[in-house]
Parts: sequence; C-alpha cells; structure tokens
Amino acid sequence: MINVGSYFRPQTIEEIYELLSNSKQPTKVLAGGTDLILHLHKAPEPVNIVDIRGIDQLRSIEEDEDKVSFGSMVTFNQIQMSKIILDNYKALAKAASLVGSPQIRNQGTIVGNIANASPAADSVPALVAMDAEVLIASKYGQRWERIEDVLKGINNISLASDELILEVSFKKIPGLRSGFAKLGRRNALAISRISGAVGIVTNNNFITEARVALGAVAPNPFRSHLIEQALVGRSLDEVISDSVLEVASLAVAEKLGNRASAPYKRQAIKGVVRQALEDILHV
Amino acid sequence: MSSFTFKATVNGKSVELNIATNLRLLNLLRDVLELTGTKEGCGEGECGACTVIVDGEIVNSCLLLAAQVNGTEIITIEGVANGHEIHPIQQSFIDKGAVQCGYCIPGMVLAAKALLDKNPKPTKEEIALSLSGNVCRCTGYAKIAEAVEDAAHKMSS
Repeated sequence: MINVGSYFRPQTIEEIYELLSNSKQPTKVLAGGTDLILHLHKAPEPVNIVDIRGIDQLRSIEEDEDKVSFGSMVTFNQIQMSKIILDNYKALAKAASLVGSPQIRNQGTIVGNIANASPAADSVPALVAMDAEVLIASKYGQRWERIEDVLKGINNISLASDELILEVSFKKIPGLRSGFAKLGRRNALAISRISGAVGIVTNNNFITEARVALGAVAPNPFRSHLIEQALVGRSLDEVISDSVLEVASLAVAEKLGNRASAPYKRQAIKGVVRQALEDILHV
Repeated sequence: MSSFTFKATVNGKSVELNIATNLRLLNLLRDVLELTGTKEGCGEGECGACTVIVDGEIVNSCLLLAAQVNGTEIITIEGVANGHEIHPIQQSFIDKGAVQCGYCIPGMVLAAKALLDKNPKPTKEEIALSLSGNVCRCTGYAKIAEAVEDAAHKMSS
C-alpha cells in the first residue's frame, strides 16, 4: 500500500514554498514519480505529496548565448527529443534516451533522477561532465549549486525538507562533440552497471578540451580528470586506443578498491569508454 | 490518507469520483472502474503490463497516483476497439499469432497504438524500441513485432 497523506497540486511556485515550509508531516515533492511512488510503498508513516506538475514554467527547455537550462518537470522524453539539447549537448539526449523504457521516459524527470541520487542515475554523469548546476529554492531564497557538490552519497542529496530543485543549467561549450554509453544487463529496462559521458573539443583533429564523467562506479557520478587528461592532446585518429582505455581502467580501479565489482568493472569500463567515443565519432 | 475528487476522461467518457489520495491509477482502473484489461505484472514499472495511454503517451499505471492524471485523457485496452469493431492492431495480433497467455497483450497493443498514432510507418527498429518497455514471457516477441508491422501496413494503405 502506498503511504500518502494529503495530496496537493499547487498552481504557483510560491504555493509550493508555502506547502513545503508549513508542513508538520513528512512532505515530498512529486515530479514524475517513477522513483517516489516506489519509495512510498515502504514509507513508515503517511507522506504529504506536493505535485508540481501544474506549473508550466517548470516544463520548459531554454537556451541563451551562454547556457542551456530546463525546469524540474522536464521528462527524459522531452530531453531526448529537444533540438536545444541535441544541438548543444547530445550526450544528455543520449543518456535520457537510455533510461528505463518509453513509459518511464514519458513520466520520469531529469530532476527526479538527480534528486533520487542513485549511483546509477543515467542523466547525472552527462550533467556532471558539464559541471551542471541546480537551482535550489525555498521560501527563504534561491541558490545555484553544482550537482557534483550536492550529491552526498548513495540516495543522499543535500536538500532541506523545505527546499526543491527548480531548474538545471549548464554552460555551453562551443564546438563540443559528445557521446554517452551505458552498460546494463539488458538493452532496456536496465539499471546501469557502468555508464560514461564523454565530451571533446577539437582543433585540427586534436583534442583540446575533454569532459568525462562516470556513473555507477562511485556512490555518485563524478568527473574523471584522469581520463580527461589522457584524452587532451590526442588525435582523433588514435583516441580509441589501449592507452586511453587503460587510464579509464585505472580511474575505476582507484574508485572501487577491493569491492567485489572491481575486477569486472575495471575491464568493462574500457568497453563503455570505447562506446562513448564511438558515439562521438559515429563509428 | 485523505480523499481527492478525481475528474478525467477514460476511453472517451467523463469520469468524476471521490478517491483516496493513495490510489494508484492502476487500481482506479481495475478496482473502481472495473476495467480489468490493464494488468499488474510487477508493480514497479519494470514489465509494462500496466501500460495505459495518458494524453497520447504510454505510461506505467502502477507508478502513477490517480490524482496525478487528474484532468487528462486516458485510454485503456478497453478503449481501443470501436464498439464491436476491433482495431486493426488487435486484428493483426490475432492474425499473426502474437497472443499466448495474453497477459502482456493489453500493454503491447497500447504501446503499438501510441507508436502508430504518431509514426504510421515505423521501421523494425522503431517498433522494437516502442515495445521495449513491455515484457512477454511466452512469445519471444517476434510475432508481436510482426503484428505491429502488419498493422502499420494495413493502417497506412
């Protein structure tokens, strides 16, 4: 049985703030619900639900000269199909397209993916690779925080009970080419065992800037400066090479130490990074 | 648990009811509206047996509170046929031998319908992708995919 107390569907952001700060009972923000509904099956006491789907401005994806941003009701499907995302950062569209299933992608949101803070959240490596930020808001004010900084461990995000995420934003990188790969136990409806987002900027066929983030390796997805440094200076003709993939293996070994999954993931990461690079090079 | 006034269109008909806030869409359909074509296979969004169409998109009804889909247009398997006239997709499923135990079929048919309503001439890959959230334990999927292809040909000619 799902343990829900009262259900609210505010019409404005201010109403959301009031509901979150006035509530004396456990209260959760509901965006898509593909994670939250399952948590509510196990909730020990009734949880009040603040459903934010009534607020249209949270459904938009926007860009200006410097950055791309989107609201907390934007679904995986919207991101997957968005021209703004495809033009500016394909890896995010690719990551979104690989989450769950069409049904999940129609309902689930990127912000829910972030807030649930699963180690295997697929959109998060793509966002972390770009140093993406979230706008955290409450009745008392708003602030931007880097996603990598607010994720504090497995299913742990640093958000107070009266706060919610309104928006995600990342700075555009001119000339960026990006790819994403996910290794799961099957082709759909799969939780990532490892995922990787890679972005590169090239000049005359040589990589001048690289962004790499890995998911389902550490408690939260992280940017790997080790792998980024191994890519910078490489020519595109020999970027998919044993030496680069060995560095990826080392980066994973460092994070996993003696964990049972380490021997498998140290090898599997090579395939994931290879696929992410192939995704960029359209091999 | 509190109550909520639910208003939506289900299979073309207006529905207005008082429901509990914790009622899943799946249970609204099966237990309150007695539309038992929608099935609970896993209860966690991993099998697609509970698939319904909400405002033109397929979703897992086990992962939605009925309250979340207030004000929307919902189509279940019962709403696919036109009275006694079955839908070409349903006919193709029969013609191609795509139905064994039948448990996954409502979800499969709705996933196919949502696809063909948007994309009348899908490729084999697009068909497979559109069905990728629906699990079948009996058929091995081949005849289901053929049925969708068959329906697409029929419907677009």
